[in-house]
Amino acid sequence: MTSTAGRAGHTDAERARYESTADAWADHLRSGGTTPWLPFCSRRGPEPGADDRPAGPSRPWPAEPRAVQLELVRRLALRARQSRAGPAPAAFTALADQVLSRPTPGRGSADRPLAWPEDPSAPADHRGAPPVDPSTLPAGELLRLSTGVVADLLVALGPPVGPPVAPRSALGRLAGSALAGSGLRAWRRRRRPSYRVLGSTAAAATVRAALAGAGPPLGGGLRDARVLVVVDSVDALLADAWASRVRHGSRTRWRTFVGACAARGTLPSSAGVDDLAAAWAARVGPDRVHVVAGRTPEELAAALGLGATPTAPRDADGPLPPYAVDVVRRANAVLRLRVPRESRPWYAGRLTEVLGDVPAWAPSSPRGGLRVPDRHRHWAATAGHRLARRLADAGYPVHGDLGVLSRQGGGPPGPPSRQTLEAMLDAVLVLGGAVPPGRPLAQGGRR
Amino acid sequence: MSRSATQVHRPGDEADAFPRRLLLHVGTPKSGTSFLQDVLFSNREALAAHGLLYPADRFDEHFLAALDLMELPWGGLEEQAVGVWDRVAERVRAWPGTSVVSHEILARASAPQVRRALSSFGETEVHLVLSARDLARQIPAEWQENLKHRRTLGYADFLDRITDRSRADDVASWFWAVQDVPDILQRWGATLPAGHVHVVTVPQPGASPTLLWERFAGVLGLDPLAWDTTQVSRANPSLGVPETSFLRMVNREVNGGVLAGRHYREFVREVLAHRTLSQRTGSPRLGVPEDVRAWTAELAESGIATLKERGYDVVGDLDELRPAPPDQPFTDPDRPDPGDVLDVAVQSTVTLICQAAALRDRTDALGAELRGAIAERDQARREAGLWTRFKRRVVAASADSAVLRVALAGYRRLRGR
Repeated sequence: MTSTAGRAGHTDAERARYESTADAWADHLRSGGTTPWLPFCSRRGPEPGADDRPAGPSRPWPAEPRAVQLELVRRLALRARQSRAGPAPAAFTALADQVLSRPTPGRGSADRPLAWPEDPSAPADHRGAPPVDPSTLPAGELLRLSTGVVADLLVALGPPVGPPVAPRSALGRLAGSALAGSGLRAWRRRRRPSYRVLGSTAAAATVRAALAGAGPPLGGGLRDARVLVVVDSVDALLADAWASRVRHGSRTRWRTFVGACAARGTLPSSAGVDDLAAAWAARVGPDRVHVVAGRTPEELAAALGLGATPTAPRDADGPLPPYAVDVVRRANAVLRLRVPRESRPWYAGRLTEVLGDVPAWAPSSPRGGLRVPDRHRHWAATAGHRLARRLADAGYPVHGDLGVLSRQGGGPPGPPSRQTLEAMLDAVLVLGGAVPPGRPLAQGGRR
Repeated sequence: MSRSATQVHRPGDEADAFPRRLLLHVGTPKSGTSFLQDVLFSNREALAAHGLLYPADRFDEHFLAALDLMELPWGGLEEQAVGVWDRVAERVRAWPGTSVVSHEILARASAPQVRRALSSFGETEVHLVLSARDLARQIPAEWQENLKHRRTLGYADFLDRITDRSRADDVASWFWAVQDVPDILQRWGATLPAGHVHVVTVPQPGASPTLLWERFAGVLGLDPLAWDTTQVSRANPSLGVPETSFLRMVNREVNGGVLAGRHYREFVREVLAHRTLSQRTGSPRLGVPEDVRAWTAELAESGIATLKERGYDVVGDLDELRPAPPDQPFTDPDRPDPGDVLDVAVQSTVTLICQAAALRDRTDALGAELRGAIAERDQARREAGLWTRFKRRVVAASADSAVLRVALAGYRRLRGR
């Protein structure tokens, strides 16, 4: 246990120099600079003059921006430089001022002051949270503040016009997307066999892309439709259900969501691929409902008797990675205090669109989904076995191994915080107008 | 020597003699704040007639205002907090006298949040009030409060975190944000004259039970004897060592999605902790180990010196912030007596069984009411005329028939509906 005894406090001259340096650093960051705090202090020189404060209008940020606000501006500047178009200077400065003035929402560490360059430890007369080298702040603190900024930017977009349209469930959207954009084509091709692809989001996207490249039409009338229910691990089905709830405004963490399902002993209804298959079987007949489990696009094309080579799916077709979903979840938590309940799905949807359109995915970013935390592994495997048995008992043609349902997913047990922070920074930059929207190319990024 | 923070404006007095004032009570937690808030809420109408506004239509309104100001999630309650701070501030600005706003979690507000809060009161003269108790009593109380909010960390772990000078941990960060008296006063009082900052010290054990209320009343400018404090119902009593240990064990089992927040609040915090376990007074009480007590004494000296230097108004005695000698040896809640904990478990089980039985009785009664209502409805339908029954059948059949739906739509247009 540490004693309160320590070195004496700072002199007035030291305090003046510290404040002058902090102001200069803030100005450097607002202009798009990215030098960390301690190297900036070293480069600035030993004894700046009395009128060393930046010239120009009085600073638009509060008297004491704390380390987290300043460090977030620096990380935004670093991230903006990775955009192919580069940051828009005026917009970046305005965004930086917004960040510097923004209190950190929610729970976490108290805002800490910048570390004193000569001696980072706090003097004996220091009160409050101890000073910190901002480059050492944990990602969680930067995420907390940036979530508040994202919420502000979303709210500034204005309330939705007209009654909010609640997003459909993941499986519902997939069912609908089978028809999306294909109405006219379906009319012309109604006598040709067509496919509707439903089921686990990521796996279904792969299959859909494969079929599109191999020739048969997607969608079409019910008379000739074959329904492909694509199944994946229970981990993936749960991740889809969680992501769907987040898009509806939920702020429940992944682990808590899985824990609640395990405590009830049931999968959420949106993960019920057996019910989905049964519903379509009632409409088109069980012989035209196929279950696809763990097949590569080439294997599936061969199994379905398709001649052409399937196409590899584009990243753009896939669902948001789990760390991007976590960005929406975090924003939902702050938006609960800002907007009416009925508007939350709109804001969540808007943020999802923005995230779907930014080049946040570096080559090293994990593309897989989430896995069920280890303490619930047994429950998930049992639920997977049960689903597999029901699908097998129903007699559908099965392409692949239904055992995939009970296998453990390959992703992490929770959204990785580093990638979540990167996605959050991208959302701030795009919403704040500091980088252009759309899909600018980045190293190894999306199209 | 304390002095009243305000003279209360009475109806008929000259408005100019009594500028608009706000007594902003921001903490600290576990220093009698709940008691004060209950007295103010229970007597708010009478207080308003005497010129003192407590702007709250529900007992937790200032709590919601604090959640709104600090954008704090709180187990779903934050949904009810949207816009509450601004509404409270508006009432304060509109009141032509003295207002009181009080909630202990306001102590945690960061400098930007404090700026927003103070600016929201416009030209109102703000007086800051902070009630403070010695750290040796605050530390076990705060650990207990952590457990009542679902945490599972042990006492030794808690002590390690809060005694780490880096305060980097979330638990430590929250603790010091709401218990570091000089820091709280610096954040909230930096732009206020020292004479507008009032520190109310909580008396040591053994003092008159009405002394704290008398001190608060003095700050508010009220005669302490003229206000009914006997009707205060929302108590926040402390738990003993085995009770706290049991609560921690319960938390371990119900967290991770097992028990939803609203059920935890009702059954664990209210039924178990507040109404059952806190009534057990024979068990060892929570304290601090001797080395921690010595450390709190050092901190107290430093804090008292700072408060004196800053010249705040002290209501009570700063000596009361020094830890008093313990009245019983330290009992480690991380190693409770198994027999004591078993006793707690048995009583808790009985309490919850009785609670479940009462809920079952209520469900049965509601079920009987519902069955009665359904029977009445069915009877009314049977007594309805042939034409009415025919219309109902057509409407029901139209769900499956496009032809009937078109016919029905046409019929309704003809009827002007």
